[in-house]
Amino acid sequence: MTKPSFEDTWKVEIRRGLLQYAVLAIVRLHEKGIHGYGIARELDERTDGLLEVKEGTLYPILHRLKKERLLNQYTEKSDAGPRRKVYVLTGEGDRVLRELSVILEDIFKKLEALKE
Amino acid sequence: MSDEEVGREIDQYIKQVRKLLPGNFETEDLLEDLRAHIIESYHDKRRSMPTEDKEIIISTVLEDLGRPEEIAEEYRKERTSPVSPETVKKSMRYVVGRIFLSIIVIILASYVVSEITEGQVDFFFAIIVLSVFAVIEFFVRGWQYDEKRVSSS
Repeated sequence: MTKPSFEDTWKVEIRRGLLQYAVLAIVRLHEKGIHGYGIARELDERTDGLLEVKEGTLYPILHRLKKERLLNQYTEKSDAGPRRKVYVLTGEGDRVLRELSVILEDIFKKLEALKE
Repeated sequence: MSDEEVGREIDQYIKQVRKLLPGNFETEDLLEDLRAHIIESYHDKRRSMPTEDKEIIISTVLEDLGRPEEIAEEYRKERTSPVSPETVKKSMRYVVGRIFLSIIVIILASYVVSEITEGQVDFFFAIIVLSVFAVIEFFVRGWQYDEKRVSSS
């Protein structure tokens, strides 16, 4: 088994925080809520697969965001079979997302300035 | 590949993930999410590729989902990340608020009962009885929670 490159390891390290942000951002786009599979699909479509998310790894993140009270959930019947959970952003989640957007913008601005 | 074989493939995958995670309610909740996701994804792909073999479709679904080890790794990372102090504070406030509210309700209810019965039901006796009911309700809720855990596993 070949050792992962420095870039690959680095990508994994920054990916997680960004993924939490991206999940919150996608859930905010859906006022009535969105289910896990929908989040995975939108994440792939809207970021062109940039975050290289394995769909199953989204669920521990969703559970974590729920525990932090940034997301709420309810269940609905799915056409495909079992009931599925639908996630909605809480007021606190909305506040945190806005705060994170400001932090991210600031980080990118400063990193951009480093290149000059 | 028959539908039963697809079902067995899904069960096998869920079993592998379960093996790597601790046996608790959170794990069962996660496995339930994964199963719902697999079924959703499988039906979605079947709709968009009606002529494709079921075996290829279910393999694609499970590949997109990730190896059980990857899911277990992410689960461990999220579990070991500390919950923010703000969330802990909010939970504490919620618990203290509930206890405070219960005490107020018990006192008010005891007063009303004592007044309505013109003292035939002693105020302090009513407080004791209602407090016992509140404690019983606490245990019943705990029991219902355990039942839910068992039925979802």
